[in-house]
Amino acid sequence: MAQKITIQPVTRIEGHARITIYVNDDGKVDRAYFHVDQFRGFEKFSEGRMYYEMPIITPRICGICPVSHHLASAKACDAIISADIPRPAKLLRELMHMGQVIQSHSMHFFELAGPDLIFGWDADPKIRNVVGIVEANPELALKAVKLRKFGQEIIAKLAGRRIHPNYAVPGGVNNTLSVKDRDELLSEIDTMISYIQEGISLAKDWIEKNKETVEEFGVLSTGYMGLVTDEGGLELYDGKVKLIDKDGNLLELFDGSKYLDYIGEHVEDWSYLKFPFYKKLGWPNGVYRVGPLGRLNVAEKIDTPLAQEEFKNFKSLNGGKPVEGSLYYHYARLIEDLFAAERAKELLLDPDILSDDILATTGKILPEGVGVIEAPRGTLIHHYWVDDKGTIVKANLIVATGHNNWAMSKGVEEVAKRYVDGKNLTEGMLNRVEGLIRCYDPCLSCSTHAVGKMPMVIDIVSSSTGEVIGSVKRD
Amino acid sequence: MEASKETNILVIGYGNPARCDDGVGEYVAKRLLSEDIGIDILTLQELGPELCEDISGCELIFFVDAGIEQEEPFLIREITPKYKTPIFSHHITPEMLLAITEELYKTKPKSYLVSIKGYNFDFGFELTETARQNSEKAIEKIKEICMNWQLQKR
Repeated sequence: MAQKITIQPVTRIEGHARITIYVNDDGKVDRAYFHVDQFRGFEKFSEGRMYYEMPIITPRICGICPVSHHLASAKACDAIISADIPRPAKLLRELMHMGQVIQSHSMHFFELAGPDLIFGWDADPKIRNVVGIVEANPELALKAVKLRKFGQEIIAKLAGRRIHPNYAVPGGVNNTLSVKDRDELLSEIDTMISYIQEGISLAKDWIEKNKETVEEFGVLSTGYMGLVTDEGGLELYDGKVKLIDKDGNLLELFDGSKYLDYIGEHVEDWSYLKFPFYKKLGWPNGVYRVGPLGRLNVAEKIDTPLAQEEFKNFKSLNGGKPVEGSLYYHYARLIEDLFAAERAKELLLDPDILSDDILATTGKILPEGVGVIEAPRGTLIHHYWVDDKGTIVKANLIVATGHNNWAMSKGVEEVAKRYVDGKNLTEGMLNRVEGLIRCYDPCLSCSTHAVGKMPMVIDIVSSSTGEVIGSVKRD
Repeated sequence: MEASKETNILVIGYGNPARCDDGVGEYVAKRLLSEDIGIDILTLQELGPELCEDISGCELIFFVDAGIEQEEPFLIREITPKYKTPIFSHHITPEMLLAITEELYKTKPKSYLVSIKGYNFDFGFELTETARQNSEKAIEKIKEICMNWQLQKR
């Protein structure tokens, strides 16, 4: 009898993320879906708040990338008060953002991607985890922990706390960086860069040894989107939004505040998470990917030397065309990690970083403001509409994981069809399906604005009867 | 809020204060800090592996979180290192954190998980009155354990 396989979370508060795999009578996969079952309510919660509260409230959406929400929100507020923030404030915000990227990307590699890469898809799950890595290579594990800690130290030195910052305010930031704190961070930065380079070596070695898998695993033909500098370089804090098609041709280069002219959101009845797409190509032709792979595919260069060297290698993977394999997200993420560390060093060495010219005031309140930033997982958009007193009357947030929604669902189907045998199901098969999702490092609490813990369930369902044959629950 | 290194007792209150009763962990940690009983606190939305360095030097740790399935106002139980593989959640459990700490730093602080019953997890910054009362009961128990611990250490 045909079956359905669902991977679903067990959770106490928030909704579920679930993978459902429909299997036919021969044990072959017919189709598969990645669902998110919790709706997002944060926009509604924001209504009635003052605009200047948003940079403090919105980081509560997510315990993993609160700084990204904090800064996107502050940028939206800058637009509301029509502030051109002082250069030192911009440098300080960018430095904080680099801290966020370092801690997030480093953690992903160590905690989520690393176990598969080091032990293999089919390794015993009892060792295929962080503790397994610690046992196998304690030196590497300690470096990963220190990297994450370093990223958080950057945030803490600026904001006084490392998780939910209260630092960026409309028009700038509320605190300067001391010489002592700058020097402490600088004293560690070269060590951190070397740690990331070790991670890159490890990833490249894995890619080389698993070339066949990398070239067939979750390979999708999509557009790509990300911020770029005026010269087309990788940009994480500011810049213009660049969209390219599957062949790398430029589709659009636009100011983030105009995102509604270019991005639509498709709704499917089987997921609460919407599916953004490029309006001019329509749904589903206009689907695109964001995050590390998307950003490196849209960028023409990286403006820091070590990351640029790796970038050249990345670009050579597909002869200059967009790199399509989902597993390359891991490599791209580490290249960005290296860029973030190098960029942090540049920022710390900039004399303006110590300036006390950190706030612009205007006395204006415009009816709306948009803030766009490259969060670790991709383009993050905060859009607020306010009344003449600055009270939020409407808010719209598009988060990185949402942009990748189609790719995750389609990728799950592609991987399931390639690797899952419903008649001889193994843990390793399901781990590959989960591994596709891990490539994108989704932040489901972000995308659904849920509480933060988002485990998963896999359901196996009969294509012919709709009966759930089996279920695998993961905390 | 960050832990100092002044004492060897750490209370980690975690959860999301923007989701009403999910903020009980932070509430308890801050209340205990205000009582000046010789503890350090950390308040976080989620636990992460980097915390292993923070806790490696502690002797006694309380992980305080919201609970939903229990009947009791609060539950407290000693926990030991135990690792489960996350698939793509960024959340790790206290037991997982202790396991990483034990492996990396070869320390195993005595640890309790304090689960405080919550009722409302919608968006909002206010605890329900019942959750607040539950938190106060948990605070008394934590203080009692801390006092006994400190007496034993003398």
